[in-house]
Amino acid sequence: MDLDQMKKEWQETPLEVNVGEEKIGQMIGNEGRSAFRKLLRNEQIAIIVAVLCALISGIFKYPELVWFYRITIALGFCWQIYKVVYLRRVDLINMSILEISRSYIRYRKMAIYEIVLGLVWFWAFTGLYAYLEYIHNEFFGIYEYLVFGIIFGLGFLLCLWTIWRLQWRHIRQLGRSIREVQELEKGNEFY
Amino acid sequence: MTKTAIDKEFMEMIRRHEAIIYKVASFYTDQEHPIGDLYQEVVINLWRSFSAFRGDSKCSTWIYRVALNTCISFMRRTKNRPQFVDISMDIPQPDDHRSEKLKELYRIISRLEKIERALVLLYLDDKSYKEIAEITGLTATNVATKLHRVREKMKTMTEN
Repeated sequence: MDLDQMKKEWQETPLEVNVGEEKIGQMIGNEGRSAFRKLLRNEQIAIIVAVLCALISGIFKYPELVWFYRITIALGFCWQIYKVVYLRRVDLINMSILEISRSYIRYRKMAIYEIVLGLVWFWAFTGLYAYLEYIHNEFFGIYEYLVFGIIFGLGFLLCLWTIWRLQWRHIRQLGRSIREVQELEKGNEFY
Repeated sequence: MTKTAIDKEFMEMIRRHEAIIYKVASFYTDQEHPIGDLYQEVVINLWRSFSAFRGDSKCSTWIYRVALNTCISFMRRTKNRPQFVDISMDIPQPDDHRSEKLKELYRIISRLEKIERALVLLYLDDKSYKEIAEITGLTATNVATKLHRVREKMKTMTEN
């Protein structure tokens, strides 16, 4: 396909877009529910969830578990704050395509790290809980082993499945986008 | 300026430039991102930034920038999207174009990376290298080099 030949045809093709004023008005009315705003709101809600999670830390009976939980929740809280601040800095109006792509890729990477770390956290938390039960509970028997074994195994399978899905659906695409941006940045530096 | 006057001016601007919004959305649409959703997201972002637009650059350049930035960074976490207005009857799907050449163009475009698509679109819309550079954040020389590579890539894709 020759792009120069295509150009003429592209410009001569009439476009019949006819979205009425009423519908444009409805779209504007949905301003607060745009994908970006929704994303930002979800991240802000996650901060509140982190606070609520911190408040229930007392329900665990082992101090080691409580501290593990509190420290990781505090880290999660800081991480959420960082993401919200990061998203607020994304300026669709004044940033160039290259800058937006960089921000988008970085956010996608954060989301992927977050999923993987979340699963690892779940796995570690369950493991620590099972271990503490094992050393403190004299009635820790075959039934308890079985329950924790199942939870632990499912957590592990969930990790593998999620990473596999991410690998195939998103990580490869993300990798291509990263390479594209890096190549363009190199080109900019060169000239 | 009163709110009604701003609304009127915005509507008029959208009406004048709806082809640009459509073209950008059509370059980034896929199964996960219907063209109508992209179109609406662009309109919303244009509306949000309309009052801040001071006319430092050409209106079309500003629309291209906002539209491309929106489509490149569009992230919707759920397929359940009641917030979007149904405009499927008002805008054609990219496949509706009668020309086989254009259909082929869209097929190839869908295999290009996001920034490459932006470069191709701006080139097809006859934007100068300077304008493309302004929108993309690349240098004009870099734009020329990248466009040359994209041309070659598209040729190879067609041959394959």
